[in-house]
Amino acid sequence: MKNKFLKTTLVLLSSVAIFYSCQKDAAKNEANILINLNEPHTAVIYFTDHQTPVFDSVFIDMQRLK
Amino acid sequence: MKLEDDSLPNSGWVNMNIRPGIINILRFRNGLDTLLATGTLPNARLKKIKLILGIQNSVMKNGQSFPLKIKDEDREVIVSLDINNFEIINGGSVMFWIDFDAGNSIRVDNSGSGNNNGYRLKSHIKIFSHSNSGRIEGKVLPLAADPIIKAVIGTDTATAIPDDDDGEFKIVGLTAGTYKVIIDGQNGYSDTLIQNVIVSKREDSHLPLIRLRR
Repeated sequence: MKNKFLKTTLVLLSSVAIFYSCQKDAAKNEANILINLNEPHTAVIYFTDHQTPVFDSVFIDMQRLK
Repeated sequence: MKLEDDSLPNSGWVNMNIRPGIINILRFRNGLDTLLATGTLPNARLKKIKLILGIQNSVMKNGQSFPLKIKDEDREVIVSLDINNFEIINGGSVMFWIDFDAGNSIRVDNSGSGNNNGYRLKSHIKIFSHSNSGRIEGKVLPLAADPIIKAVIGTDTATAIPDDDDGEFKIVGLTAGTYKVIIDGQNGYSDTLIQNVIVSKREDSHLPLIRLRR
């Protein structure tokens, strides 16, 4: 009886672990379609700014993005 | 960007295509943005992003130029990423925005002697995507009030300055929640406070027309 309980607990814990590790490999896009995060993707990165009233201009020397 | 798989070349760091150069970041206000970089990633399990700055930084204040000094250790700006910071658009591209907080990134340089030491840069940037953030927009009149708009939640403040031509403003990249919006009037115009502005993911919260009075 005790062994059966232990086995059931182990199976349940394994299922939860597998569920979460699979979730980590996938995400939903804006159309709610599941995307495989492990596949190659292109990246598009935009730049914007939160303002400061102190300065007329702020010139930043952008060199590289990794 | 650094990806989760450390077995990748360069410990998972991937170079993005960027056109190096000096840009006036205050051009990108009221929701305006510019394409900064593109690239190809072996996977989309993003862990970190690293922005590397040069030393040719400066500011203009009241028509006068000042150097914006940067320490060597501050030239690399590293921010952690997780799935909540970016979106994957139809077609499979990873997309996100780098939001440079100009107000919090620049301090008066108190090193050395004298009062004209210029300013120092220690960059504060935030990463957001449109699908995981919200926006507040509105219009403040009269234009002569030159207001500063602040959206405040907890200890976080996001700032906007309305357009010179029509008084419209937009604050993007806001975490969902309940904000208070402070309209800081200048030139003798009084301030206004709007409480309980609810910001939801993917949505624009439109404020009614705000008229400041002397």
